Amino acid sequence: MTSGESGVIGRGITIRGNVSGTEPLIIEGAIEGAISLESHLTIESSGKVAAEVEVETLTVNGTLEGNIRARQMVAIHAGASVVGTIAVPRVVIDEGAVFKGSIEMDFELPEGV
Amino acid sequence: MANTVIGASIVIDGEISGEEDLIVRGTVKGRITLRENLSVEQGGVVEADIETQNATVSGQVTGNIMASERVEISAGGKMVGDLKAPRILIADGATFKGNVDMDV
Repeated sequence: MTSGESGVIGRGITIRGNVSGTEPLIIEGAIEGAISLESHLTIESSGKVAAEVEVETLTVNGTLEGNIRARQMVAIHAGASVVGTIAVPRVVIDEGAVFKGSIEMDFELPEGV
Repeated sequence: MANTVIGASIVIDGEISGEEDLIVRGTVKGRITLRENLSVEQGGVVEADIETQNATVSGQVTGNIMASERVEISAGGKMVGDLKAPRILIADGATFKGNVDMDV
């Protein structure tokens, strides 16, 4: 367990619908629909997510398809497969990760640019 | 083996299905279909029709439960809906409103 209470969607579980909350969530199973968290979302290597995702921070080790909006950071690790659009201030894509889609880092452009 | 835990702040609106134990401390609306054990813990709120093997209710359930083995409403548990299971246990201190059908 990491800091605080952390929910786990195990690998035998499939959820179709909307998932929302304020605490960290670890996904080892499958989710189709939408995820809205005011916290950290981790998709483990066995996890399969096809959803609109809105979170604080996101770590992907598994499969993710959909549009991602993160308020802080998205990390796509080796072995992960992500298809979709990412809107976030900070992105890390490791070597060995697969990504197809667009990234929009919504930072403030300097004056006069 | 890691169970699935729906934490206290989590709200799920939709359908949950699976083949492993599920612990609900948050809120689930919709439908739950499991081949294992469902535990709605204290603080957990479920508004769903439930199909499972075993169910233990220490929180609140609104909906019908159909269990292939056993349903337990623990002390403090609140259940509104129909129960259908071969074995049903309602503890002293539990609140229940609905029909009970043990003839599966």
